Amino acid sequence: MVPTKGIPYPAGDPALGPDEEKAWRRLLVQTALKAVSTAVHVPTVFKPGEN
Amino acid sequence: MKIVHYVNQFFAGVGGEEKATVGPEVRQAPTGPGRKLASLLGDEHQIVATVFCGDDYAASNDSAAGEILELIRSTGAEMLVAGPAFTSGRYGIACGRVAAAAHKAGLLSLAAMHAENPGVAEAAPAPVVATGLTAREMAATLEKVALAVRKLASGESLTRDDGLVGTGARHNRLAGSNAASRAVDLALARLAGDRSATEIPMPDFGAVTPAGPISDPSQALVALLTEGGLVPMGNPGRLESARATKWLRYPLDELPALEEGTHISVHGGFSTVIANADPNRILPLDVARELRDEGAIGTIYAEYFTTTGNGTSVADGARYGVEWAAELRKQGVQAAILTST
Repeated sequence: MVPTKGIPYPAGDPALGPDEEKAWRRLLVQTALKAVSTAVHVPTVFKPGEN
Repeated sequence: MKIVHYVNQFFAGVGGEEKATVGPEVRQAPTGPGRKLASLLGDEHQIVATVFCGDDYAASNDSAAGEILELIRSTGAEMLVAGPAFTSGRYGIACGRVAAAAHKAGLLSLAAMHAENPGVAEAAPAPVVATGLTAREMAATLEKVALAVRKLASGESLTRDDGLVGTGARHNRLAGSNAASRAVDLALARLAGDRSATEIPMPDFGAVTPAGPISDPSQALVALLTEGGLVPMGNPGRLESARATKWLRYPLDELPALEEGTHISVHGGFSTVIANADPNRILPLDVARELRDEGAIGTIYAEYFTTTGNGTSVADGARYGVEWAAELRKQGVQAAILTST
């Protein structure tokens, strides 16, 4: 599970400018790719950009 | 007692996944596991017919349980046994719905499946007997089912000792002491270290074993999924804004990104203004394409799956999960990114 910033925009953040928001979304997807490449056995949180 | 047995297309010997769409049919004899069950029941109870249906047909059509019930009634049986479905999601859901429909129609009914099968929640008020995980445990499971059949046929109710799971039918009975003393007894039991004593077991949502990791996203087929109610403009599949009863699939093909005006969210649980101004905020297609072009993702699956996660029942949600996983595996998808609103 990758925590994001708000229920109405799980892959975005309207408080950011267009370029910054896209960079944030890209970081979320990169973190998700890291998550699906990692062995887990219990519910596990992958914070965006960490690890 | 005359018994009709419900199984899926696989246990009826009709075929595997390629026959999952076949509609319900009846055979005037025990079939597949029904033969072993019939021999365990001896002369006292007879399996007079088998009704079978493809898993996709039975779990995906709202009318399926009613159609199957008509066939069940046509056999003249007094009792229905559905399954065992073990951990098969669609088969379990079909067994649960068929058992519930037959129970409501006045037949004695019994379903058999693993305690964590999403079909358990569909069966109430018909009883469900727990089974092992897979058909490798068929022999032991059928013995348990035969015992439960005998007990139900003799007019008794099943208990946890018979393997009963789920809520089943609720019956009124007179308790030995009033609610206040029972509550104090439970509180004292808890203080003394008993963590399980309760009169109202909390729902158990089960546990899902996480999929194994993929070795290399740059070689993988990756799907984008959402429960954010994202649909093409005009909502052609009429996805509900709340309490969704279905999930839908729409093409992504080689779309570079989602655009305002091509896709909208019909989710009724939040304001969709921000999402609709840039639908990539719900389904991150634009950056997924960039990462694909740069080689960080192998391929993006050519469709996205969508439903609305807003007041959706746990049973429906579990069913969509089972169906999505089965479909993605069939399509060779190795990883999925599911956005949750």
